[in-house]
Amino acid sequence: MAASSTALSPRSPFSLQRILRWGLYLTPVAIFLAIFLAVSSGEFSGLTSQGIIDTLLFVIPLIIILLAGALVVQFLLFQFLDKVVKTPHALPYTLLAPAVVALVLFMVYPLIFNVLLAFSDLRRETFPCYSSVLTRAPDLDCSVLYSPQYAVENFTKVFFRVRDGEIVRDENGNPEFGRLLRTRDSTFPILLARTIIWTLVNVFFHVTIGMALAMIMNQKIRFKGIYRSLIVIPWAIPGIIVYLTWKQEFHAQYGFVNNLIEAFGGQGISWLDDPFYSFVAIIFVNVWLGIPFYMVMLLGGLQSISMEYYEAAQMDGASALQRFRNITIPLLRPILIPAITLDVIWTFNKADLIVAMTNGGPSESTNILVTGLYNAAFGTAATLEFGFASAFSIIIFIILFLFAIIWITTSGGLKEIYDR
Amino acid sequence: MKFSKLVVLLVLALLAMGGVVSVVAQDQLPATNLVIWSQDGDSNNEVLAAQFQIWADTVAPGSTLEIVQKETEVLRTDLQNAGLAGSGLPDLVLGPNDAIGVFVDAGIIQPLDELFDVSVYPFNLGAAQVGGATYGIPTNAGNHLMLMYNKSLVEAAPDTWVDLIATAKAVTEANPEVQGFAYNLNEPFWFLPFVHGFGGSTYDADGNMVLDSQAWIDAYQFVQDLKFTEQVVPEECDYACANDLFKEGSVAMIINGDWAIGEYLDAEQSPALGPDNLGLAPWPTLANGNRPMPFTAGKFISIPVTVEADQLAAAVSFVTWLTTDTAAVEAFALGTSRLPAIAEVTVDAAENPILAESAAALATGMGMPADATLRCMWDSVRPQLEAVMSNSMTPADAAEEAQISAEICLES
Repeated sequence: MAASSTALSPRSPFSLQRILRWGLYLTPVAIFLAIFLAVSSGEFSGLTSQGIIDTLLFVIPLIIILLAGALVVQFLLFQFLDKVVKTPHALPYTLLAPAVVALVLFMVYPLIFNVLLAFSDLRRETFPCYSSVLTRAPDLDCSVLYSPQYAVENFTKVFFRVRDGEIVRDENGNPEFGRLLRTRDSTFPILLARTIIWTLVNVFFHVTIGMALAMIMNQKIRFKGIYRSLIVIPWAIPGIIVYLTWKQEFHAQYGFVNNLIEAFGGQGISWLDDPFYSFVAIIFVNVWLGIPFYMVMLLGGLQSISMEYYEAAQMDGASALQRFRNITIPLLRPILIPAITLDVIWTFNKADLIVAMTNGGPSESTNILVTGLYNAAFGTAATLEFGFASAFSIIIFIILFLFAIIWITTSGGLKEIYDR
Repeated sequence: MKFSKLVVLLVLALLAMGGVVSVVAQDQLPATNLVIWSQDGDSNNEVLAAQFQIWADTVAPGSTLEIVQKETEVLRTDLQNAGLAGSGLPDLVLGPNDAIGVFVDAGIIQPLDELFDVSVYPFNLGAAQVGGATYGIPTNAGNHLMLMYNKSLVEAAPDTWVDLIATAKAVTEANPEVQGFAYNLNEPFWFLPFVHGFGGSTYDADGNMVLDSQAWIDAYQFVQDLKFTEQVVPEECDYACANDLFKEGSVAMIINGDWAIGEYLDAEQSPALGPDNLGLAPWPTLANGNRPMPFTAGKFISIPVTVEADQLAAAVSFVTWLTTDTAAVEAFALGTSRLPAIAEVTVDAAENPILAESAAALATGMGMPADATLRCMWDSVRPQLEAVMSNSMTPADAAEEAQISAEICLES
């Protein structure tokens, strides 16, 4: 117990609390310093001092006006609920209102709009039909903008090759899978299979390595705070910096990884040029990035388990493995299940890392479903078929939604929370 | 008599002055704030801003030009999104001709034949024409890839690929830290000249897209051999790799486009190069005696369909001046180390040897069409080229796959 409380102690010079607190103190100072330097030097990263001042003079009053406006609206809402509607919950409703408005604006509306798009024939050639300003070609038919027929075609195209509204069949009469991108391996089943492998491998290593590190950090070891801070570093660095740095480190000729391999007498690998090794490289980086999350979560969980359980089990002669299986795992379940659920969803949708490191290449071999969707809609094979892209995104949403429902209900991970 | 003559002369003088005043008044435009989305680099945009100020001071005092720099693909996507949203379109768009066909397809840019005298651009106007209408006014000719070399590492430009390979190996042998040759290995724009050199093209005589001819296979084989048999290129190399290594003197020869010349001539940005060390040359000849032919076009200014009235008048006036006034063309085209798009401005080889070399390389290229279907070629070739360059696909299979992929792309 003593060890646990020391690990959490805010007195430790490298404790998370201290780091966070100092981060909070230093951030405004750093921002002020950056602005001061930028303004005094006349130019900073291509921005002129006048440009920075103009932007601040626009943004700061805007934020103040928005906040003041929100306060006024909230006050009026409270008065309305309290005096006119006379509900006893006027205050909670008022306090919840901004969050509800934000949810509706930024979650519900885009979701509904996305579904609507799946019922459209919106693609580059039909842009003028959906825009009030673009020039319509004389032969462009804009009579029907949204229809179930379009939705059927859009959803069909996610799975099958469609030509002139009909599914293309091979010589045996079987429907041909459609290419979501440009290679024969960019069909939905292959992208789905790759996404599942990507997700399973990542989550497996996240959990196992994160758990191992958390258990080590839960022991009595020296300089624990330093180790913990070092392990959390990947989490603290902005993603894009991590991705681009690792991209350089995996360079076949100039990267650190091959230099290391060659220093030990090995043969360098074309990491980002070879389909298999590219996939290995992006998995490695995502594993490296995901470990701190699990370590922090599980360490918190481990420290909340009373030592008395272990002491009692030890007195009964339980081995270390038995203690781990019968005490640690069950008591970590309320933390582990939501963490795994979140990790599966995050990893399944992890587009930024892949786009930054390989952009789905080489030969579209590192695309998962979401990067396939991104590249089909906007990226390397962009057709700007937004109706099709929306249908594609709805399919991905359904897959994740079903997974979350099945996983959470069968694992019973949230049972304790619901039972409270 | 004398008095009456004086009166007549006076009246005539007043009329003449009035005429002059009225001409000036007609040429004057109201102050206008224009926005241009530019794919050009910062230094070129500074020249553009300076040119605009000269035009504005003369023609439309008080006018401003907001230059928004956007990378090629971002500009293409953003313009389409803004068009779809129905707001936020700029007044002018400056970029290569690649996307003009796409913008025309989407109804975003307007035809310019009625607004400009397009007959004054004799070299590359076809690259901005779709269905017989002109959608872009050239600010310069070029956008062509050529051989660039560091004279401190290579004495003279190799004239054949056999020479280039030998030279590259000799450079690396003499100095293992220096790569002999590098280019953007997996980018089809750098690959297509080889296809042309082997006698191939994107479209056949009937206008059908053909990406699986023997010329394509030979070209895939050639670039694969450069990497795996001759081993004269880095194992991995994209644009940034070739560009950065060349600027710091870590590679002796590269293939790059005219847009980079200005950067390479600037010794501050390119410490290993500068005017003394930068050399340009046409692509070396292949074993069949042909030179690989790069696509040529240039940079073009287009005007979105939303621009009208005073904005349109100002935009047309400025672009006309920028691209036809000899002093303006010299400043903006030659001043940014690129070739002029009008016959009235020529490159003096004695005065500007680098641009003369660029002009010689341009002459070996072929015009790039603005057809939107070209996009299917680029997108279909890219993954197959990547597979060939990772040795995971044979040239014949790559050509076959690219053809299938292009056909599916054209279906949609």
